[in-house]
Amino acid sequence: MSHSRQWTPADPDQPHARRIGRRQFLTLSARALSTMAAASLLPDALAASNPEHAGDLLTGTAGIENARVLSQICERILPGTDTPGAIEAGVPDFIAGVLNIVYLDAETQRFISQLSAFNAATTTEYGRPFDQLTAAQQDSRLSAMASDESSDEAAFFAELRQLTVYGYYTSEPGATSEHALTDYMAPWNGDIAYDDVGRMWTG
Amino acid sequence: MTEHSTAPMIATSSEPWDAIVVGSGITGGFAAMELTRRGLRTLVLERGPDVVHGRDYLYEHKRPWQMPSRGMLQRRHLDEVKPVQSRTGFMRPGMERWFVDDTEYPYLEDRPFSWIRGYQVGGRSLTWGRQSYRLSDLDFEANAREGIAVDWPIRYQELAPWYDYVEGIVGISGRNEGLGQLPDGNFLPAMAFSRGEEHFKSALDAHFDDRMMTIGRTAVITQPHRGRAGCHYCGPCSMGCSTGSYFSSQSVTLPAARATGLMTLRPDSVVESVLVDETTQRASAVRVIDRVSKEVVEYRGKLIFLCASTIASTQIMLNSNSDRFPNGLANDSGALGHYLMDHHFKVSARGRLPGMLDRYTEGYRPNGIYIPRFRNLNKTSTQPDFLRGYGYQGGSGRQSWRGREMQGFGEGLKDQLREPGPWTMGLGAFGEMLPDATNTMKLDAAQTDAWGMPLVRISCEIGPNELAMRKDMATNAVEMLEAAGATDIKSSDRYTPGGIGAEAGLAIHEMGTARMGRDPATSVLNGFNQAHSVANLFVTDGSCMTSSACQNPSLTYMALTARAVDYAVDAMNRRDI
Repeated sequence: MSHSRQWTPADPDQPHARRIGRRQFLTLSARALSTMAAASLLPDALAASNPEHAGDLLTGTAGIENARVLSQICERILPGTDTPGAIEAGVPDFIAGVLNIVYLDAETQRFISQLSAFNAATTTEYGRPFDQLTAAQQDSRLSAMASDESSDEAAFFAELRQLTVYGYYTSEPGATSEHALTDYMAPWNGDIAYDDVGRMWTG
Repeated sequence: MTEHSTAPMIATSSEPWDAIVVGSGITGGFAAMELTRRGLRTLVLERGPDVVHGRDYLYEHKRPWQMPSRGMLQRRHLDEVKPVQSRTGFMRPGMERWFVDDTEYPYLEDRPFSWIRGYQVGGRSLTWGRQSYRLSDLDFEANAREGIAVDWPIRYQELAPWYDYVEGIVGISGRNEGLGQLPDGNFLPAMAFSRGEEHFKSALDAHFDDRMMTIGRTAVITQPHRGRAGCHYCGPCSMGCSTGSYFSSQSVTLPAARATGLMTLRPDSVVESVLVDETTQRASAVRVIDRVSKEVVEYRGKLIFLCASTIASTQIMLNSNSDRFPNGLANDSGALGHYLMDHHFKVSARGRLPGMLDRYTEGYRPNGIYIPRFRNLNKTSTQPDFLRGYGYQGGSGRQSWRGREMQGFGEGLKDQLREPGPWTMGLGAFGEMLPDATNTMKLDAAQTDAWGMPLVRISCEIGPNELAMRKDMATNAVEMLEAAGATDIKSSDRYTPGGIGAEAGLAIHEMGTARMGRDPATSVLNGFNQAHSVANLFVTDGSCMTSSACQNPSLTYMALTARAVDYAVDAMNRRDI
């Protein structure tokens, strides 16, 4: 998630801020993507009002496919077990929000391009898009993606995993089922027995 | 931020205020409290909107899933609106509003200088780091000893009782260690080390004779104190604290001033200049532009305290021109706007401590450890390559899932992230920056802000002494971690010439530009923060600093403020002012 920036002098002539209104964080329901097979990750109104926006790549036929692929990748990274998986925890929606209001336009554009390229390569190899593979095939494909650590695909996998992990463990279903809920009134203790907690604190 | 003015209508009556304080942050709030307690009718002018204690702490005690964008900074918005403010890691999601919009409050950087600001009632006291350390005579005597800049007009002995007094009000938790370079104080019980920090401290004691580690001295109370509740260790203080367990203007000084019935606080009041009576050569009034309506109002006052923060106070003085002071108020020396300093930092190291995997921590301690300065204290610690010194802040805990190294994916990844990672220990240095006449702020008359104020133009960067010091900072951080048996040690220095990452200003300890000194020919303020040439004008924020030391400075600003008020009110009662 790190990024480098060139220093530019504070510019008093810069026009006053464009307002964020149309870029409000998405408020799709927590499980929208798991229930809405054809959901687009961005409202059509957004794309229509801002056609140059990279989010266009998440709408239309290609966008729907990207949304399905993204959801399946997240779910394979943190699958449902005896605790919720990434889809149930709303991780794909979270990532859509990141693309919409955290990433800069160029980063979102690059992300979507890599997602499309990943799925195109998958389709070439398996004869079907990623979201239509079996779970075992999906895992095999993701393992291959991560295998060459110097490759762009592996870097993209690391990014997807980072986003999925962040979205999952900051979600209520993920954090409360996997971690111990911190008590906002507990005193500080710098040396307790780990077994008294038995898992990581939420946070 | 509200877009309607909450400013009370205050008539510009013929009766002057006993005192006018410009700014409501760390020093403005303190000045307001001290002045009203001494019986003065005091007007406090704050350029930003009001922030109400408790009510406006929107994200206190919120879980990650209740936070905007789950606690991720909304870079797309921030890059547009707060491109400078978002350079600091102090800006956290949920309290971005306590950092100014750079688009609304532009300034000019000749070289990278991050001017990080909070324009609201309470100023940066809402968001500060709270570390509170005394300066010592090692600091107050340094300029004179080394022939650098000018001598401080005060020594530790003069400020010590004011440190005692301020610490008693603020509530500082910490440990007395008997160090000459970091004087003991009037502390509340210290917070405990973590298990990892105990390990590190033992190694430090075993391997190094010249340095030690103590718990951070922080303006967070560890037990009930003057009507405030002790810390309940909930999480990041800067989301706001309704129990008032960390010191802010909202939790301590403004309520105390309000309780006297003598304070009037006027938010949305941009101070344009201080007016001078040419006959008496005294400051006579403050000219205010309403932030929202742009209406211009003048308030007359007998005493004027500039506490608008470093740079902002000097900006007002440079914009206050008269026949008597054609180059800025009280600027007979020409020193006004020069000798801008910060602390230089972003040299750090982190490593993994061995073992202790059966131990863990509970609660969020809003504090870390401190390794006081150990360079250039005496002959044996004299460094060939640099003057002055630095201290380390840091801490140790077990890694959470954030930033953790991960293997693979799937159920195995879930298993990895269910348990905390290894103990790690991190150290980051804060170093002294020498005062230099060429590090300046000026006004650029050709460009003005929305209130018609000339823009500040800053030209400031660290020099050879700081660059040499940074090498020592990095080397020693790594050596200490190695001594503690740490592995996977990674160190970094974020400084690049002309780049951002460790540019001046980023430590948010900017100071100087209206320095104190003994000689009116070379300094702006005397030893009581009083302008040499304008007897009823006092500047008690960081602008007054003659050198920067390496300790976090706010405690010193508060001590200087309390001392200056005491002096000013006594002088006024004697009719000397």
